Amino acid sequence: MNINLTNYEAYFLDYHEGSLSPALVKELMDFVAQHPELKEEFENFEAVSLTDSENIAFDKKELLKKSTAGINESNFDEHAVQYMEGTLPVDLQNELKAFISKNPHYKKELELYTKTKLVPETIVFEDKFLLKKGSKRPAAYYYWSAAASVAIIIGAYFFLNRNVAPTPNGNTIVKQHQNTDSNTVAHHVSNKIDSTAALPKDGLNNPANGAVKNNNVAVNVTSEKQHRKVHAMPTSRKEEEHMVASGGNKIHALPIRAQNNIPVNLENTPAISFGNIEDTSIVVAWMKQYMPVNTNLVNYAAADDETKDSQGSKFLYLLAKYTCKGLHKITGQHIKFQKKYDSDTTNIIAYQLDLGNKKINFPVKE
Amino acid sequence: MTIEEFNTCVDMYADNLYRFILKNVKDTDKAKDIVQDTYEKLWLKVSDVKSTNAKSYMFTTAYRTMIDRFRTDSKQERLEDSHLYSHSHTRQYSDLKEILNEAVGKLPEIQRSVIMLRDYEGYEYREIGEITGLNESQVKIYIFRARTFLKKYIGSMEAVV
Repeated sequence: MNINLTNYEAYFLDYHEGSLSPALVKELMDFVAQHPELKEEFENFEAVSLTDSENIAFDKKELLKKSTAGINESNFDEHAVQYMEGTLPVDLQNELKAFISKNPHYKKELELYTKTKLVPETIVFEDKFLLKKGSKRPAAYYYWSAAASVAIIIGAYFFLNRNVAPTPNGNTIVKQHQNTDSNTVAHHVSNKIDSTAALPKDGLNNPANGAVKNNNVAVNVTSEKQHRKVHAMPTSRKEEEHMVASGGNKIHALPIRAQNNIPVNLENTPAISFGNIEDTSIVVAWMKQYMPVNTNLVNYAAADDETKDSQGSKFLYLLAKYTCKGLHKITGQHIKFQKKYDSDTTNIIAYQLDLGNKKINFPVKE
Repeated sequence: MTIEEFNTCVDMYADNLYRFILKNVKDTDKAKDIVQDTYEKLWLKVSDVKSTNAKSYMFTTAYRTMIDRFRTDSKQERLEDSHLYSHSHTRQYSDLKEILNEAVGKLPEIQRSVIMLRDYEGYEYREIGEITGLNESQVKIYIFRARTFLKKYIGSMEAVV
């Protein structure tokens, strides 16, 4: 028997719909006889059918029908659109013209349809360079690299190219702010750097030791990792010596002192021309860490004053200028690094970072 | 698609894509953003998309991105057909182009998109359907509705002018 307790409902439905064969009807009756508990369900099972009592009708069938009588008022728009779309068959085009000749007021309608054709405007997407791909690195990398390069170069330029003022003994000191009582690196400046030799334990004034030149510098750079640490400055000679003695592996920037160990009278020195950070050792360490490839720049930082004066200015100026040019080319933004001249003397009076809507001048002080 | 072909696609299609999106979103920043998104998506599929299909791929991607933005922002004014003819006549118009531009701006998004793809880019109905996810008949219907609206708009404006 095919009928069982899992499928009998389907047979009940078919029985009430009259779709069971006589053999299956007999089989169903036998099944119900064997399962009297289903008899009530079988007798109460009635096929339920929905009757259409609402007589819902679509009353605009005529609008949907296609006319077999050619172009007329009811289908003119359709044909007019096809005409201006260029999809109207030739025979219907002729028919349309005939219709318009018979109904001149539709000529204006057709003209209006032809005016709905949009004319492409020339709109330029100016940032195509942002979309283009290089062969190696994503564009964002270049932007950050370029921006970082500019920041480093401009910073380095002004730190390393600060004006120097001769002291009576022929040495040079760097112009700096007047604040001399601070015990931090930022308030002690030197412009002489020895990036190769360790500081001696016997103080700063050993003329035989190349690490200290003319009492102006005490910077020790032994490795790139060590450049990261810059220690606070000692306020006394004792502290100073202690720091030097322990500082074979750290950067120590020390206060400026004249040859007789008397601090330089900073009130008589010109003001620093740019920036708040006042220790070139930081710049050197920074450059070595982040610009390890650009050895020229690092060497320049460690060069003596004469070299810097003769070549460094031009070198770094050009570096900054062409980096800005490169940045301009990459980003399309207005960025320019240029000299500003005095209109009378034609001397350079400032370096200007021109960002289009903002111009930053870095004056050159005499 | 090679990198060179990709960059050629930038030169060839970025303007068209930008115009298509800008006309719809009416916001230069958003339009640029969508164009950039589209090219980034193309770049992710650069090895799969042939250069011959790139334009269609980008318009499809840009259109869908734009629709997603509309839904996200919920700022797009969705005009019902019943509102289409309720335009005011408070402005002065200098020429047909200006009137047409304003009329296009009043079209529902889907009608605006299909008619721009048709007129600006010259796509066939089938191609427009592929870009917008419509079938060919739906494209025709939307173009018909758009043209009918534009024609009535122009007619009413010309009467005013």
